[in-house]
Amino acid sequence: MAYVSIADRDHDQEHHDPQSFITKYIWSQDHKVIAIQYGGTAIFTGLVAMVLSSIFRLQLGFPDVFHFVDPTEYYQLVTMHGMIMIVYMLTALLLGGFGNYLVPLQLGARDMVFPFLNMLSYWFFLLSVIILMASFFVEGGPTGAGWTLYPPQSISEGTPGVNGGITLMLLSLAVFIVAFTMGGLNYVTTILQARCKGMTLMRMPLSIWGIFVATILGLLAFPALLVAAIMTLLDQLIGTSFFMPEMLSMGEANEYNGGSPILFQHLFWFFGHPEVYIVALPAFGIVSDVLAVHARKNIFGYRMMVWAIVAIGGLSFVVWAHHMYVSGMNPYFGFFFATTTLIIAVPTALKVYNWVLTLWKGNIKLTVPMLFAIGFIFTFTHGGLTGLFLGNVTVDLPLSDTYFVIGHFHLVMGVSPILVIFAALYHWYPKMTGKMFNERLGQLHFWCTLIGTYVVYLPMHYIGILGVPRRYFAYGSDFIPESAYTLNEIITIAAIFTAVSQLLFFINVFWSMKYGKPSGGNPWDATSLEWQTPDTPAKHGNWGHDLPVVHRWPYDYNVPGESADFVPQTVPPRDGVVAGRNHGVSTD
Amino acid sequence: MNTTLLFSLLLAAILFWIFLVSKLREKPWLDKSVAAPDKFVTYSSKQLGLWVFMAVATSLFLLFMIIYAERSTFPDWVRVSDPDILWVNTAVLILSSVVLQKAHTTQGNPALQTKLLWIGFGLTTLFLIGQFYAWRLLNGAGIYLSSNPANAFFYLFTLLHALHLIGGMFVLGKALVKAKSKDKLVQDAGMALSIKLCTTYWHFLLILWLALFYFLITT
Repeated sequence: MAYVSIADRDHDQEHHDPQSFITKYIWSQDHKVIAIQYGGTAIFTGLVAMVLSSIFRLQLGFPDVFHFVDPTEYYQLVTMHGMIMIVYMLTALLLGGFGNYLVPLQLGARDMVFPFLNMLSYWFFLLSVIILMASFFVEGGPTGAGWTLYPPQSISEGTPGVNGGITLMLLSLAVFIVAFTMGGLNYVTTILQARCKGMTLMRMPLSIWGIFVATILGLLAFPALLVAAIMTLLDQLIGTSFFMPEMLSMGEANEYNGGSPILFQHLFWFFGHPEVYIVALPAFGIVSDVLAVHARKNIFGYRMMVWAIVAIGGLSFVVWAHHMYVSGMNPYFGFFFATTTLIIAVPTALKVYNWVLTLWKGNIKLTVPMLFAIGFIFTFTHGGLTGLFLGNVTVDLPLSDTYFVIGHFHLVMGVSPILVIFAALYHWYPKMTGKMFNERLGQLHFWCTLIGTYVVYLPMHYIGILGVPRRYFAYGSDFIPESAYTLNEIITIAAIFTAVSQLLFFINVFWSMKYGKPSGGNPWDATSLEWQTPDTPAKHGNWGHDLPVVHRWPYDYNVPGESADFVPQTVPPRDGVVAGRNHGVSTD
Repeated sequence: MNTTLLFSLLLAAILFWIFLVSKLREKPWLDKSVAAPDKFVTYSSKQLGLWVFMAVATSLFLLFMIIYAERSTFPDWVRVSDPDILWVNTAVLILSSVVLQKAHTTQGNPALQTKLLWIGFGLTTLFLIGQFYAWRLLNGAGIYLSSNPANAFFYLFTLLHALHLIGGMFVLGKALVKAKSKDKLVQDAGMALSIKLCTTYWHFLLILWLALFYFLITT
């Protein structure tokens, strides 16, 4: 059953339009409403994490001027910033938000295959966010163990939040994983089962390919975090010794015996590295679609792009120990993991080349989504190149735990996915609201964000090479050179500037919702299915009475012989038109 | 881990890659036909959903077992003498799986089918009671969760397996209630699917339990 028309559905699955406010907007089973709920919650938590980072940046940049935080609070802020951004913001927004919104729309389905489970997924996610936020209000505050939560530190006396904070954090992660599993089941099943007629796997937009493979990664990798969280919880609450070694804590022997903290690290990074690609792959997919639409050109090397997404997904499971070079390991293991890490650069570089080649000779429209997408190519390439340094054992050891690492991962998996998220939000905003956003304000937002983040993260590479370590509350004047102090001040000012300039985005979103010009159904002249819905914003059930039928791939832009510069996927072929790829050369 | 295993894994990965790429060779920019419904997957949605869920659960338990195997090589590991009742429990779980399989294949006789489902449900409950009894035995012998990692793993594995089983019993219970309200007309398509999925899940949990049990009694 690869496609279903409304008449073929069994009675249970028929979609009745929800009537009351509660079933329509709160306990909704409509994937579009759930997507906006997921997205809104994720953006809210992201804002919290951004405020946290601004506070601790003030401490780092001007340690003698501001006294907002003491060392304990500093660690708590850093930990919560990291965990919220990676799990509760990026993962939830890209998969929960865009996954939910795009999967049924781009595949020509009416909804997810299991709408009730989908609704449940959001409410579990919200519960996990509430549990996480509650840790700010318990005695001792949230955990300050660093986002990696390594035991023994995370659950030993003396670490901030050891009483309530760490318990709530682990609990919240467990609930999040349950939520993700419910959502992930839906995405995978929907992509394999509910595509409309003619939508073969190789006709799916790359956004869907990215979401699909990332979801599979998440389904297989999140259990590792769950295992780690459950066992750490047991160590902390009941006193088992899975990970906790026998050691002196605050001058006294603890009651644990013989656990292995390294086992935790393996589990954590077996989740943690695929997590990078759980965030990156949907972003890769979305940026491919945005680039193709706004360059009015087919994506370069579609098949290669699909294979690269799958290859990166597979390889991401065999590189995790490159996060553990300093933990000590057999040199052959180091060699193995350095090799796999460098191999993963091959499909990734292939994608970057293909994005650039998509732009080449394209009819580039510098719209706001396009600006963000091109910005992504820059930040991702810069962040990716420094990854080559850190992937090598010998180079990694001296750079480990310095600001070089901070600069690297913020550029590659912080800024880059966020630029894609903004590209996507601006790109699909007309479809979600039926209104056009303010172009000028969007452009201003882009330049502030791009320049701001570069001023924040490029100098970090330099002070990292100088040897400034991360996770320090304040630096004495003995071993940090003057230049690093000045740069730290500049970084802080730029960080605050970038954070404040995000207001432009929110002003734009809310202002345009009320005063924006009506966008029409397909303002970008795009080919993929979500732009061909009968209503904008799409109504419950998406497609009116009949499901769409797909005749072509989603990248038919500037096809020779066609009068319009794009041909939607639903348009049947005309005789005599030469297929897009051949640029006027007959295939007969 | 020996080299033979590593190389066979590598070979398997390459073969899988070749298979995958051979499936994804279509050139979508040339083909403009309305393709026939994709036969990439021929399951129903619920069935596929279950298989995906079982993959997730396999990943979860596999990771637990890897950690178990690794942790058991540490010097503080003390072997638990597992209670003999586990053998009885295992036999009961095998029986429940067999009974459900029988119910799944008994299509023509709704009355017998319902009866078999109830027996399977009962046997599973018996298994859970047996597992709980094993806990009581260990507890009585002074073997607590935190006294040794081997015990901790025992409690953890049995608990997680039981939770998965209870989830399955919830679904089976729902099917049974539905069967009753429909006057034992077990033969409608939704019902047949429910039974089929329950049977698959029971077999999965049986295999999982056998693997866990093997691990628990050998180390």
